[in-house]
Amino acid sequence: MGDIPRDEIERDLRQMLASCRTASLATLAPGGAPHAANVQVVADSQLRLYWVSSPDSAHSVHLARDPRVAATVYGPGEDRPDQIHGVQIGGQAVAVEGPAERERAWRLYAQKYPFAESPPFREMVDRQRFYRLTPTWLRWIDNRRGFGFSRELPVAGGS
Amino acid sequence: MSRSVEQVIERLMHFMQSIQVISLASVDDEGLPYAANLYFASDHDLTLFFLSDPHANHARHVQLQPEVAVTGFTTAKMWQQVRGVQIRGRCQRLSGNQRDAAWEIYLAKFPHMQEVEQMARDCDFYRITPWWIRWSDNSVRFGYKVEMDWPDGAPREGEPGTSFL
Repeated sequence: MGDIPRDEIERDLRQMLASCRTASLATLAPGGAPHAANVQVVADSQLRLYWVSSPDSAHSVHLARDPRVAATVYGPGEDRPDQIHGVQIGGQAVAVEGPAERERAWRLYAQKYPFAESPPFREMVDRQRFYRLTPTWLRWIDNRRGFGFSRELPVAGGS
Repeated sequence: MSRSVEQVIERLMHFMQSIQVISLASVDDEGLPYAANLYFASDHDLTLFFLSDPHANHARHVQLQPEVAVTGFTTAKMWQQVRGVQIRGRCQRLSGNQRDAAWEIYLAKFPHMQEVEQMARDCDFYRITPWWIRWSDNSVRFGYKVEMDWPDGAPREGEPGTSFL
């Protein structure tokens, strides 16, 4: 089980991120207590996650103040213990700045969520902002490979 | 309690029974946020219970900092079916009679756990007592949200159409 190549693990992780919509995003509230919010994400080739949120929502306010965040995503099959698979992420989240980066985020997002092109979604997206989570730490958990299988994946720039 | 409040709580209770997994947000000893997916069960007060290895990161975190946050959601394919919950609360490890009671609640939701009771004995039960809950339900209308201080606060509806979730 320990001999599974990293690119095979990464392939499974990318497949899950491509098919799953929701991440739970953990941010730090003032005073340092955790806060958690569901966000609808898309991943890029570097395993960075993007989502759209109001800059006034609690999690957006939190990460503007302190970009250190964590997240989880899990794949379908949670009702069967032998099918459990998901990822834990630690990293930094920021608002996407500049028209080129925003356009790039929008293309990624609309590719995964074509319905976002039509009202009322497009109007909502235009009123809000894109955010990006850059992982510094990833742990992939996959009971399909054996009960309790987990692997930490080094990330460029991570600790 | 008004009828609408009862309806909100009834739907929320039903939702919490229908999902199996929560993401638990805790804070490590350096103040960094951490998130882990966990199976859970809940009771009629929306107290949440989960089972964990006491050496797991999140279990160690809550011993030092019991303040936690939680989300849960439906894995719906259609945005109209998307529902989710956000919770803030305090987490506590259980022992003795409280542990036994949590086990009964857990077994009622996950009967197959009876088969691995011995393994479960090596784990601890933890209880999350919510003090704030926000419920999102696109099946009511797009972007519908209601939040309340738990258990006695009046529900407050959020601005509609601000999120998919």
